Amino acid sequence: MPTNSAGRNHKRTKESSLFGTRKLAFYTVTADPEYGMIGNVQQGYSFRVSTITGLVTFDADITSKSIGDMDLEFEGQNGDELDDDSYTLELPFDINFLGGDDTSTIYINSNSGISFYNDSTDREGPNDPSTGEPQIFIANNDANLQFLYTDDSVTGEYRVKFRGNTNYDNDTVVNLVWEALFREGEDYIDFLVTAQPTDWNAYDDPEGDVTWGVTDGNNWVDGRTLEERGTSFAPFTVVSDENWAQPNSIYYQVVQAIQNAGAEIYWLGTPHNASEPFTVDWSGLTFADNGDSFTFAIADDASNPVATLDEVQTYTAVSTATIVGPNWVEFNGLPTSGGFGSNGIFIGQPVVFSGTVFGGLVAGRKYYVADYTTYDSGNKFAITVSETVNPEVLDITYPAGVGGDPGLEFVPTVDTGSMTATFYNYEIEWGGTAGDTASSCCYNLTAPGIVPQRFIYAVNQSGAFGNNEYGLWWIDRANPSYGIFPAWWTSGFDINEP
Amino acid sequence: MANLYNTDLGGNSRKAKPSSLFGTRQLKFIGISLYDYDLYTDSPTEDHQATTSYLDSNSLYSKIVTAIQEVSEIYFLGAPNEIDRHGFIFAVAADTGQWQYSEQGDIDYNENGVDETDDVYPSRYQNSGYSAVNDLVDRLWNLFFKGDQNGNSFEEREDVYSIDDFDLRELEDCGFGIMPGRFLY
Repeated sequence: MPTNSAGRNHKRTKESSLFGTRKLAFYTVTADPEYGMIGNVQQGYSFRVSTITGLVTFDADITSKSIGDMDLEFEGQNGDELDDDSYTLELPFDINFLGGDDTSTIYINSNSGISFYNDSTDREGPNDPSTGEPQIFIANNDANLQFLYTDDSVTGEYRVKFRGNTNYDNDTVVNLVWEALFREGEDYIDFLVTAQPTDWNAYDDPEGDVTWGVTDGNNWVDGRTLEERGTSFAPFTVVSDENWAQPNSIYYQVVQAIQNAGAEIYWLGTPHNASEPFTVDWSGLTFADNGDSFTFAIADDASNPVATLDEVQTYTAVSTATIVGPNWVEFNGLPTSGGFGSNGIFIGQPVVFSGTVFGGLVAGRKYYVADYTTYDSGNKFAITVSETVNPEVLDITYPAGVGGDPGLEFVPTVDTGSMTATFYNYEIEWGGTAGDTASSCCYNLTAPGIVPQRFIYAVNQSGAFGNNEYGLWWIDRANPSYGIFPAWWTSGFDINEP
Repeated sequence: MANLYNTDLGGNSRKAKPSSLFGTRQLKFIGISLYDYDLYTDSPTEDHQATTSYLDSNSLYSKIVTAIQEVSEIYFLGAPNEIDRHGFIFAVAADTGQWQYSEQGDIDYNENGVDETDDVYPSRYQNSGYSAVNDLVDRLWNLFFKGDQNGNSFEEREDVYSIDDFDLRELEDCGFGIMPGRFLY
């Protein structure tokens, strides 16, 4: 038998999670921090460094300040972070350190810490303390600096916040956060470490090469030995003052409620605060909220989705490829209704033209919105359409006719006239254990917001969040794209340019 | 014996712990990203109007998956999509694929595409500037570009893609989803 293309059908690949298990569906649980789903994760540990002796005492007089109340001095991720580099800051007053001259300049070491009188990128201080500048090391190793904030809004105080990663190779996630507070006229500096990995694998250097300590440029000020320096003041146990691992935690109760609802959990993530310490900034992807959250995966049994027509909108198109440019179907006004979206027209939804149809479009044929824009100073809208649509978007499949990911844009002829365009919005229910539902009235169908109604009901009934007396908590389906996160979160940016 | 579950003594059983051992194996999530190839339409990036698809027979996506499966046990497989046309994510059993992190090192392939030192991992990658995943990186390099990183191709074959730049990132659990984290390659 010839080995030709007849066998090509089995040489295809299709996304799956059935390799030895079941197809997985991911979800995120997010809650207002007031519920305390994580606990006092942000307390971390604090210490005071004497500027006279360099000696350290714990439990300093410092509380964390929100980055929203500070000035952003530097930001850089995805290759723009500071690696083996330093950043110079000017204080509004003079200080001196270990008997040196008065100075208003300090240097932030991207490997974590502060040096005085000269910049430093040291990360091997304990191995060679005889050279270098006076400096303070905080979980110092081959790290990076991704964000640097300052604040001088309080008279006589100057605050610095360092946000980076303990592994220089991770330039998208912040896992090391500390603040330093200088007070004018005082002979000490207070530090607060609010995020620091407890897993040594999260550091680029091995455990023994991660450094805490104060050096005068010649020796360690506390006289500790080389072997001791890596742990001289690194109270790891204090960092994780989190309660999610405790019995009957909210985390436990939510997981139990989901399991009680019949879900087979195949993967369960760790609770984190979404903004601190794990603010993730991938290009335009910034989650501005600060919810406590965790992700989990279940065996996905959602199937046979059902669509229910929710809303029909009609608008009048007046020209094709005439005003905005090729491919565009141009309308005589703006959408006036349609969910709570910004325009009421959503990418991927069906549209049918009727009346005296022009531009090469076919009356009664179902097209799909491929793109949307406005023109005439934002007073009118235009769309492009596709004749085809892929109902498989991320890891969900739309019912036939509802829409999805539009194919190539239809190219209309240059023409004018008046025809009616009817847009269809559907409610979609996938069902299954999670009770996934979505409304195409509210999201582009290429980035759907899918809500597991049954999980939400089960968690609500469990009382995990009490009487819902604090802010919001909610559950979203998280779809695989560049990472795994709610699709609607990724809809506002383009990650096609790595 | 009295039922102690709802007493303080039963507290340890009422905990949840992050895991991926619910009937499966410990999983490691990984993202692959190509720079110059649109996996979604299975075509070079500059060919915007391609009508091919990652679902086609012998798509690069299918070949990458095969390459991964040669060295790892896949438990979850995502697909290129409208949001990320250049990559996809997957999860493998953490104890397959010889997962190890290297120090920096030079990868110096000889004319057969084999490391000159003939060393086993991880010394072969030392001082390359990359953290590396041994077998998987080997397979992908062989698929994308049969040759070295300097652009020298060593072997004539029909399906050379000449893709000499790609990323592998370990995904990091960030609570509100799983983000691409540190580079594996």
